[in-house]
Amino acid sequence: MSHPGEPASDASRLSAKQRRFWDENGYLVLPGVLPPAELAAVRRAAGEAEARWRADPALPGTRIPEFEEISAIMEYHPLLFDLAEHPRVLPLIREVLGPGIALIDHAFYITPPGGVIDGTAWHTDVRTRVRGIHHAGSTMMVRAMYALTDIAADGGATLVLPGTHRQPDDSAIPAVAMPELMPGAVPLACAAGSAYFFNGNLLHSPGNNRSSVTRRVLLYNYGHKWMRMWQGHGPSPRLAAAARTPMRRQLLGLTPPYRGPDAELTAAGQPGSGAS
Amino acid sequence: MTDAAPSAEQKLFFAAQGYLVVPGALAAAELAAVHRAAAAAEARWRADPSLPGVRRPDLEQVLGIMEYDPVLFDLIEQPRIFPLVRELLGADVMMLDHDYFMTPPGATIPQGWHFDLDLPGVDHPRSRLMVKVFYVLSDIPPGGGATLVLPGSHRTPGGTKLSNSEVPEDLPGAVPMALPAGSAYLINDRTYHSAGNNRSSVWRRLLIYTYGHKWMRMWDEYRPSPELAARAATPHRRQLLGLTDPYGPPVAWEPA
Repeated sequence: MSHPGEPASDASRLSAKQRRFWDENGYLVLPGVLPPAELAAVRRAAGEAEARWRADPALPGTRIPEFEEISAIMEYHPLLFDLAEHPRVLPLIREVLGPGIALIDHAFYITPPGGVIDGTAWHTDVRTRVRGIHHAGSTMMVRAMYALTDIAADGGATLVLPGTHRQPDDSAIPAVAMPELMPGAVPLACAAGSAYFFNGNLLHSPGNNRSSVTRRVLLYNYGHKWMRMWQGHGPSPRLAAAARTPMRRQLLGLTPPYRGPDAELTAAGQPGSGAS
Repeated sequence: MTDAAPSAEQKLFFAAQGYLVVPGALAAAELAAVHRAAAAAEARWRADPSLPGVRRPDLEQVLGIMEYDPVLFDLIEQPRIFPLVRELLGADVMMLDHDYFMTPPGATIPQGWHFDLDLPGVDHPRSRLMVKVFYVLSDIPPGGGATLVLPGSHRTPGGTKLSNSEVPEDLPGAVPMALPAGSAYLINDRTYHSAGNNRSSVWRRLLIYTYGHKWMRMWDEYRPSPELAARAATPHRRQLLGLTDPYGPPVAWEPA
């Protein structure tokens, strides 16, 4: 399956082709959203965060041989907070989620070569965690991932099962021995600087990293402002104080949940603008 | 009525109509105790204008009523009502807000019909986000400001504008919750409803407990005080107050 990789004529809106692909498949790949200079800056910020996290085992995250996760990555560097409002990604996600968009969780995923992941890793983000919702007709979460390294198809690329976001909530997940053996699975291989995002109800799985390269991706998971943030992802007082625009405050869950105006997109959120 | 799981008829009625009446939810002794607790809360609230709520000629609302008295906190797991709420919402049930509403004689509610929630991204007709429970503390006579509901309206797609009416009672199909003290009634988050005009000579007094799911945000002003949080002695009470992992497994409930 091909991805509608060409940029829209207006990069802040979905093209008709992208919208159709999203509706049918539940995901989109956006090549080159981080140009080289921006990618380099984000890599430096992520590298500093990683070094700090490794030096302090008390910092939250996952530390297992096949996978490392630095939780709440926006807490580590202003540039990583700016990325939550990236001008080529946030407007598109806001378009599919709605104007009440907010963050649910954010992290830095590091997948070294050689780990083994079995087929039970296939899941949706919302089906068992966000109860009471008819997910096949709803869009509750959209997860954006930024590739900081080139990710080959066998390099731990996220696997998705296109179209499953519209399956009934009680649909069984086929049993497979390895994630890559799922019939119809599509690996989201992409170059460094790319982003992809997918509906939280889409069946997906991490892939096995059989390459020689450690996979590094930043994750920004969006939902609605009336949803709680993931445990441990509520903003620290320092991060909350850095949220100086209505959009930043909304993204951090600092505005009224069910009523009140939704924040508008502004150029102020562009990386490096000093908004954070 | 005995403590029991909700009947199939109750669940079917709520699913089809978007509301449910439970006569005699509060037995006489319990109603008396709740009455006393609500009256003490009202007196405290009137004596201290800094306490949160609404103070208007047509409505008074004591916000965060569970903060005022342990009896009003215990009502959160009322044995004739809570099992029904938990069955309708699921094991991840949590409180969203809780109030004491007092509507004086003469109150008028023009154009009062509304949905509580209309949220982009949600397939509302096939989802169930909230169940709102009303406990009737004083008899509500016909014309006494009874809540009006439009049966079946909870299946209306999000974004739909339904007709309103200057006099709430004039909306065709409206059903008034004119009920005796001790009754309870429940509505869905998408059930179109309105307060009625109170043309009677008596105040309408209701306690309202709104339940949702633990992954939903509580209104900021209803976040439990440290004192209330400290009184949540069971894991389930902590879940109801939004003090557990929003996306983790729900805790078990052991009826008292």
